[in-house]
Amino acid sequence: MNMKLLGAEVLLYVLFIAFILIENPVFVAAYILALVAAAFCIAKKFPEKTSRWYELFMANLKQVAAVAFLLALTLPVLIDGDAYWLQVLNFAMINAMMALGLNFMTGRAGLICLGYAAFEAIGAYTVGILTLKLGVSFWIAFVLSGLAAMVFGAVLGLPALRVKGHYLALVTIAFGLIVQETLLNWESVTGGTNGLIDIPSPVLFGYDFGQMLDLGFVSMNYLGHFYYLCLIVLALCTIFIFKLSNSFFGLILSAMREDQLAAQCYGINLTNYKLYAFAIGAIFGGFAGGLYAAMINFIAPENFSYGLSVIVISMIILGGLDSIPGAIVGAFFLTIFPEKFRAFEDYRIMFYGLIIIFCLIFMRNGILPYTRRIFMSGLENKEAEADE
Amino acid sequence: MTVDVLLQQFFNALGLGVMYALIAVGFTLFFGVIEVVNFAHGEVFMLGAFGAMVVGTAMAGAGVEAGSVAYILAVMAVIIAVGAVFGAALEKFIVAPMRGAPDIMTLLITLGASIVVREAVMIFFPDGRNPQPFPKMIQMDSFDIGGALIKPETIICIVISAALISLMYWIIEKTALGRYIRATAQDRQAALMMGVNANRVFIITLILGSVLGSVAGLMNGMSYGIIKFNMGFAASIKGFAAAVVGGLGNMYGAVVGGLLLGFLEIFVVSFLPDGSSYQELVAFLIVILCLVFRPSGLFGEKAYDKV
Amino acid sequence: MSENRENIIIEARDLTIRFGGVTAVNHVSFELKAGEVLGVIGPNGSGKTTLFNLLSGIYVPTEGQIFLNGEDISGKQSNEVFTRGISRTFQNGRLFWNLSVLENIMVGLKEVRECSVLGSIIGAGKEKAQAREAIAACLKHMEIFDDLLIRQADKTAKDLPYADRRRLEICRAVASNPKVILLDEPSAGMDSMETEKLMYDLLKVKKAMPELTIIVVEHDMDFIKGLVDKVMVLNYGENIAYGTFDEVAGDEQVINAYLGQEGE
Repeated sequence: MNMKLLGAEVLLYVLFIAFILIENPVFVAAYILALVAAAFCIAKKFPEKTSRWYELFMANLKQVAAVAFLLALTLPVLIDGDAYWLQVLNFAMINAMMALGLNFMTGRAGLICLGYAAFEAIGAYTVGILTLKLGVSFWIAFVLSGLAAMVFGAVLGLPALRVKGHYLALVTIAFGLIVQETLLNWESVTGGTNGLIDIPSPVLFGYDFGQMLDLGFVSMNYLGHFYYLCLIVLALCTIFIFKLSNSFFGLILSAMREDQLAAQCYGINLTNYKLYAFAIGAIFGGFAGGLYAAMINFIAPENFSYGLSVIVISMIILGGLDSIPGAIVGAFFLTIFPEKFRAFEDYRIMFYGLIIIFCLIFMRNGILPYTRRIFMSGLENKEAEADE
Repeated sequence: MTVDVLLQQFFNALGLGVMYALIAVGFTLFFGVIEVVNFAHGEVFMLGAFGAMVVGTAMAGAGVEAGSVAYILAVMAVIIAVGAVFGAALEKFIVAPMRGAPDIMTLLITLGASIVVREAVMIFFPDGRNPQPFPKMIQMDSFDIGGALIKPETIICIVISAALISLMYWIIEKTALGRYIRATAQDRQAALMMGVNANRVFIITLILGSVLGSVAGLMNGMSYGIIKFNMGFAASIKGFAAAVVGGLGNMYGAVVGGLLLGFLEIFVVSFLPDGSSYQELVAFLIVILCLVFRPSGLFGEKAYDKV
Repeated sequence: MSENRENIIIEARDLTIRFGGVTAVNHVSFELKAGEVLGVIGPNGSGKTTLFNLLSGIYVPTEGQIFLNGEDISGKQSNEVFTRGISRTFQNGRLFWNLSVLENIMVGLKEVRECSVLGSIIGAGKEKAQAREAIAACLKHMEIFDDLLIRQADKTAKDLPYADRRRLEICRAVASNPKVILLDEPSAGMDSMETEKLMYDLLKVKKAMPELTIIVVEHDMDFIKGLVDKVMVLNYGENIAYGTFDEVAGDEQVINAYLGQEGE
């Protein structure tokens, strides 16, 4: 347990709560500006210290994640069960799952995907159709939503096997639009433009997630349940992705990203690994969609447009391609930040576009760049053994 | 199906096809020379249409008759200016800073640029959210060809496109500039060593392609009489699709790809039952088929990796 | 030729590839035993790299076959060729630039490639031991270059000095314990001191792995002379001379094709 890091994390958490609680957009802007300026000045003035802190952070990701999880448990209480912010935070977590999945495909395996929203759509409609029309339990439908997305990911992977970078961009856009068109036109199953309404809430051992959540000292509406559900699913997704990325399998995917031809000349079966990357990356979109459907109770094709795919891309670019903490932080920032400026709702999409341009020109590795070499710790052990 | 209906559809398809071809030529030029897939290309299409509309409306307000020489010259000047400025700005602020970055990042930044331009038009253009009526630019009767009444706009679009594509052919194949462009496309390093100013070639390529895109936007406005801020997205997808079908980097392939796409779309819409709901999917279908069976396009040579 | 065929590791028979109208490699044949070193020389554009691309499965030959240990591997994908025991380096250096030195070498290991996806998620604590084993295997190969690579094991490949990048490529290629290794101009871009050092390094590789068959494309004649058993000279895709260095160096056709052109 690194106490310095713990202290820093608690401090950041307090700053985050303050950010949520400040309501006047002018103060919010001033607050953000002050924080960014402070961070920038510190990084400029003490570059060595900053990079040491960053190394410390990256070397103790497990601790950071565990502490973040525990702190997040208290968040609904600290914001007094505010329904609006619970909703926003839930969206942030759902977006974070999508960012993790897309980051796995694009950041790790180097396979560009401009139709990621389609996987969320598939997950959402799987849960919607199964629970609403067939009366299947949410929990079964939820598992199936991930599997359905996985199958579609593999299907998308098939034409993608034969094509490279630029063509892949086109194929994935096409995939996203085809899924959306299908949802619009297949009215008997998907409800067409009207979508699916009144998707039932999950019930766990007779406990209905649609009711109020009363913790005794604070009570909140049904979104409280979803907050904790999303948090747990996000935590599991993160662990899953983290393990995969730090395995030999993850190493092979990153080799494939770096140079497909060289990777193939070093024994890597590109066909298999591309399919794996698409299928696994898609699962998270499916889960995100499943949670989304159950939480909102209402889904329509327009919720899963090309625009959403681009937003998820801006999240992983801001966080830093291939960076797991980056994907989560990017998703949180880009979901929560615009909520403070509801008056400028029109500018929201443009803001995402500007973020993409700004990051790619000025910070190509994002705010939390991927730095940790996977097998470093193993090597240190080995050398330590040799010294003994 | 009578002959006049067939003729009517033939001209519709030709008009649509040449528009796609113009956009596709831009994509294929950028890819061949700069090795960039420019997702912002659809936006110059939209800006061209908006520019033509603004100047057209202003001229009409000033009492200049639509279709007069002054009117047409003004519209042409604006269209070319829009394309040139857009192309130059794209090179300077978007493409050039990304030189040497992985392909995927260059692609993403043009995507970002396209969103910013599109949303900026939506926000800052008066009533930009809603479709805008496009002024009538020419005053001519419909042509009677074999019993079919063909709109003059369609004929003009076909003529302009044919002229522009021939002009591009001439520039690329016959002029010194074209030689530089071809040299850079073939081997950037070697071209640099032979004294070609690659940066200038890049910017000129972007300007040429963007002007074609902006003319395509004008044609779209003239043909349909209505334009909208988000018209660039579909146009860029279809132009890109046409370029891919023809073989990215191959100019003649792009023209054939555009025509093919136009004819297929019109065929699906007018001859298949309930065809109009599939219209948008046609492009994707042929792209996916093409990529599966002929990954390098109809006219692309089999690509060998440079090892 | 027929009495000890078992010893032949790699054999190319009438290997030919045409691109459109150009015949880049034209009926090239050779056979090598375990531990032999073949130098391939020839003027630029004579088809040396194309020959390597054929041998490593990147191109499919228009005609002819390649046998590895008696198995016909022509037309196999390059990953299959690799798993059967041919690994290669690239002329312009194709490392995995954003991976560390250690990771670059690990990619070629059999254990890494054969890990299952599910296994890496569930793992059950085995993955640490596996990683340690893999690292140990890599370190063993890195020792060929003394501590040059080992002390830079955590650097990303793109941060390495130029000469070390080439060493890393060679190290990555031998780490999979291949039967045949193809070196495409390993000394390109090095000065004469570095080239000489590289030659000794390769001699060390040979000593450490006596069964390893090496095919090397090189321009540096001292390098070739000091390293190889046989030399093959390519000109316009054709094998115009084959023999020991001294035999080939005296061949008139070679002097005309190769040295003559260089001297102009």
